Amino acid sequence: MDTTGRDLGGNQLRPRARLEALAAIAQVTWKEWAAFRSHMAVSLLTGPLRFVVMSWIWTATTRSSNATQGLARADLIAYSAFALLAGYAVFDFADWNLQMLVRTGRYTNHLLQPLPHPLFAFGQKLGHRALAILLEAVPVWGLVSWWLGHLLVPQHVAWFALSLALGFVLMFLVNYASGLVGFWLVRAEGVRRCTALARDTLAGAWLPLSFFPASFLPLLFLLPYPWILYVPVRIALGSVEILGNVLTAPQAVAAQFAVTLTWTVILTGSQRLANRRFLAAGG
Amino acid sequence: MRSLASLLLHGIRLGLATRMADRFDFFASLLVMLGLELLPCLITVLLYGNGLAFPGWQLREVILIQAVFLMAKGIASPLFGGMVWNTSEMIREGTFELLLLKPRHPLLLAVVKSFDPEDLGKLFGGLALSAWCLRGTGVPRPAQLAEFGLLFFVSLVLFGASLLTMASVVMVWVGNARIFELFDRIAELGQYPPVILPKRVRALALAPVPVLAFAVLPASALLGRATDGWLWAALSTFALLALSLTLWNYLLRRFSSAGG
Repeated sequence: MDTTGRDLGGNQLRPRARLEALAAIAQVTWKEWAAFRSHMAVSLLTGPLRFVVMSWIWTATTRSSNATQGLARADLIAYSAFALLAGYAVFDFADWNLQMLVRTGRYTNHLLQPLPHPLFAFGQKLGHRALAILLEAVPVWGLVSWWLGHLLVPQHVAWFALSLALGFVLMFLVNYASGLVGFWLVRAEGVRRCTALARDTLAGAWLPLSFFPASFLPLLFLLPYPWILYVPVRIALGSVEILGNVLTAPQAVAAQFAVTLTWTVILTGSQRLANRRFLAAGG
Repeated sequence: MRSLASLLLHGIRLGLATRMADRFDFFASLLVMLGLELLPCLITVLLYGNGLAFPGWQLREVILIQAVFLMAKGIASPLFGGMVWNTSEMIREGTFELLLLKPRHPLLLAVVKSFDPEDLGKLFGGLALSAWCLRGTGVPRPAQLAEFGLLFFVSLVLFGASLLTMASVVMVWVGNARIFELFDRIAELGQYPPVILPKRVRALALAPVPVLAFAVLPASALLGRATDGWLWAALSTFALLALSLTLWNYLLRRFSSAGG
């Protein structure tokens, strides 16, 4: 797109060529990040440690109670395990990357490419996360299963996989949209970290969202965050409880699909606005 | 001594001036650095709000542990935290040699160069939270305060030693920013009451990995609770400090201007 928001070349690439470009970008990103495998391997220590702490917390705090918010101790421990593992699959830093490109002016290169930058960034995420699933999620899944003494397997495997894929896309959309702040603020690192913290907390990365105050929950489910992580994790546990309603896995995935579609529209609109501000010198 | 103080003050002034260039980002960072550390508090409040509890510990007592952790980190991080990141970046860029050419010990210069006020948010947050907790648990007696002072000093030394160890490790493990995450995960064990730890782990958490010295022991002193094993924790903290200084000097000697 140019500075008025018109497409320069992005739409000229045929859909098949776009897919090929996406696959090529993913492959290159995989190779690039494979060089930093020790960076990813840190998760083999941090992931299990985080899980063990949460597991000990659940064990210590649920000694005298049978179930809290409809979740027994074993469910709560499984929730922490699935949230940790799903986190590796959906993790994203498109916001940081976009803000860096805008701040340094390197975003110009992408305006000249025949592929819209969001698609380019999505290709990067595909490659990066595919590698992370291999280097982070699978070994940590093995370690967590060993700790639990049984293989940790999600219920409704197919729906869980589909929901996780939607969470993957939604996380990218939301993150990219918040990265667009970089077109308005020269140094947006503080805002970015604020958003990331709120995003993970409200996505249920640390505690099930049913633990949050009941008055806050209706507002929470209007935000995109719970649909990124909480919904896939609850599907893995067997049932999705939202505002007192128990949804089946297909119903939850359908709702998640609608949220993802809405955010695709929001991102497309806000990206056009942001591009108009870009002056190739930090916006 | 006067020149040392003036050097440190110069570093602090420079650190402040750098961050004041973009005040909005600075204040946002100040808040977020506090916010990121409030996660254990949020977890604790939500647990207690849902009728769960750490056996034998009131809500304010648990939050006090986390507040003390914040205070210690809020003092140690601005002074020494930037050193880890700076050392890593300077070695990656090949500018670490500039420190070696200056007429002071490279460790002192690394500390002076790295003052970052954004972590002060943790200190202010920790002070405010401590005040709230102590309003509910009662004002500590002078003897408790004295014990707290001693154990808080141990906690600061432990933070300093941990950060120094990390700054040493990044000399050979070049460009790995996730070392902070590794530290946070280990330190997380010391942000909740020790009842969460299995018995054998509890002994290890005093020595040789004194995670309980980060906040549990000083907070227990303030609350008038038992601080058994504090001497072991203090000894292993000072052993860790000696080890980290040895490691820094050893790796500095091996430094070959190409990433260690």
